[in-house]
Amino acid sequence: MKQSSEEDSVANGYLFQLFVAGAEPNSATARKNLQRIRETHIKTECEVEVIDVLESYSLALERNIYLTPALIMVSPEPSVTVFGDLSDTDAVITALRLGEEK
Amino acid sequence: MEQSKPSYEALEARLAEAENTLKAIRDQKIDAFVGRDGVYLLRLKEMEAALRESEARFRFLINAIPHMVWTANPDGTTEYGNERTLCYLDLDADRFEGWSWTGVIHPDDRPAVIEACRRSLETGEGHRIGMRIRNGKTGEYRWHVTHAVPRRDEAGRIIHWYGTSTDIHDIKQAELAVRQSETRFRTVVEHSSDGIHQVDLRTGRYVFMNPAQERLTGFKREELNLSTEEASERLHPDDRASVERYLARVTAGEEPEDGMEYRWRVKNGEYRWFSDTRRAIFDENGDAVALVGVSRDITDRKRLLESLERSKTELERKVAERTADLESRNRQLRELTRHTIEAMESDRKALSKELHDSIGGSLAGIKMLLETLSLYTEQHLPDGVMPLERIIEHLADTIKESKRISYQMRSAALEDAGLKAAVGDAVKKFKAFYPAVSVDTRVDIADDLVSDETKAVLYRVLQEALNNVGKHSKGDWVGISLIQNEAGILLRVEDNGQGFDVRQALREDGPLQGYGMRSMKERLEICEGVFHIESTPGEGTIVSATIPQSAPRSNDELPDAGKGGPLPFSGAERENQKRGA
Repeated sequence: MKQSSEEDSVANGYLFQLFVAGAEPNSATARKNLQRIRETHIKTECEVEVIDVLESYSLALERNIYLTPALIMVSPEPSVTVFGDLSDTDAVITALRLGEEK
Repeated sequence: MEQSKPSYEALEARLAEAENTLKAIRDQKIDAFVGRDGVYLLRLKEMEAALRESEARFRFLINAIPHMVWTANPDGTTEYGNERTLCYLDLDADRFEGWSWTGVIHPDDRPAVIEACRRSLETGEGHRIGMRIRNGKTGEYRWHVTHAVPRRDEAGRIIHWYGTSTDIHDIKQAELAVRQSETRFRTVVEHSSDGIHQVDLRTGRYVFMNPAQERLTGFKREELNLSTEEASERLHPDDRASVERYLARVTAGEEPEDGMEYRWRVKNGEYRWFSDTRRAIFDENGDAVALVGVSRDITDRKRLLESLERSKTELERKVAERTADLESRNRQLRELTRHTIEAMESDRKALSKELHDSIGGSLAGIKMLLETLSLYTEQHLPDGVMPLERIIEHLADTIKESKRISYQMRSAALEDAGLKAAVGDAVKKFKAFYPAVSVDTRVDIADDLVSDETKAVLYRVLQEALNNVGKHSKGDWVGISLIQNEAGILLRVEDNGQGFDVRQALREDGPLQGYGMRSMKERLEICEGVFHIESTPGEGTIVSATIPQSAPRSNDELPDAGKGGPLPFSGAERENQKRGA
């Protein structure tokens, strides 16, 4: 299902999966930070899938996500995982290779 | 996901990812941990805050408790000390770490403490040991008890030593004081000469007796199961009620000041007197649970008291006897005196008669002969020889004097006609011998109420007083009064003569000088009368004599005086008395 959505909707755009733990502080910050980064650094099509581990954690296990908040950049390849509340914008941008976009 | 061959870039990305992850964790940007069995919220901030709080609380506690708390490394070197430790030893935290502590242990305790630590390190077992630790500030050694325990890891290796040192100095001192006080108390109890015991009222048995109590009762400590019932059986039946009353007061909470005295049959069967003080001991409900008592054997005291009582009675009896004896002797003595006076009167009368009848007669005869002779021998008298007329004159004087003496000695009027007449007679004689002196007389008594003895005494006093007036006063008036009033019979003789020094006269007036003042005084005292003489040089002299009329020498009392009937004496008896004396 994921696979299909991934391939269907985003051909050359960005696909993120954000794993959060309900409304825990770091998770909430992570959401806000991701939104901000998306607005400032991503011009192309971008899809964000937010997964609350408190509702379902099987996907997290599937993706080897053992800590939240965690952001997986599924595409473009190669996929990258960033843990934390994403407040260190520079580090996040570096990790997500978004600097090259600019 | 990468398939097989991890490129250098991929590896680097992984490393960066791991680094980021660690940083996120370190920065506490993590919310939850996802495990196979569920999701765990981490809430690290809260946890850290809680941890900090917990540690702060623990630290506060450690520093607040008034004990030294410390930790040491597995090898025994010191690591951490709480505030109390640092303060007591006067060290800071840095110096405490790895500090050598043996120097602050009292030299006497040091070897044992070092040995205990050595053994703990060797065996891994904790220890508990008392020691004196020197105060870093004052240098004072205070008693502490130190307790050390090891903390081990899962493998059983010792990772830390934990210790506490508690100041027990005051407790130790108090304990010492209590022990000393108890020793003192015990010594007192053990060596007291009074019996001290305790009875448990719930079991009714003696639970304690000191050696004195054993000695007093004859029962041994081993026989402590002597029950109060048996003890009560041994009470003297007459004392049972009073003892029960006393014990009831004590168990009711009273503390009577007086003890109780009772007789108790000691082990050998003898009844002994005891004096006890008892007090009750109460439990928390206020019920008397025990009686403590102090017993003293007062048998000897009781016996002494009894014998004293007997002696006292005996003494009183003896005193009474002696008093009666003395009174009887006094009466006899007075009787004897009276008899003596009587005998003297009798002698005087006899002597007077002799003087008058015999010597007087002879002198008169000699005078007559000499007068006759003088008619013939008027001339031829050699010089230096007294003329006969002069001798006859002398003889006449001598006859006169012998008559006076004879009169004086005799109180014929007294015997024949009573005191009133005797006074008149004495006055008449006085006038005859001293015609130049005028006499006033006032007599107002009833003769029959006056005893013969009193009459005699008064008469002699009058005679002596008049004699003194005539011989020594050089006055020309004398007043005599003899009256009767409540005080008795009062005789008063006063003159207007030259007077004299009474004290001087009394001193010089010896008993051999006839009827002097002392003689008058003594006579009166025999009759329990009062003699008084008052003389003012140049003005005159007053002699007074009072004899109480109700004097004990009444006729009723006389028979007590002795076997001999008193007055009047027959002539023969008077003669006997005279010869006997």
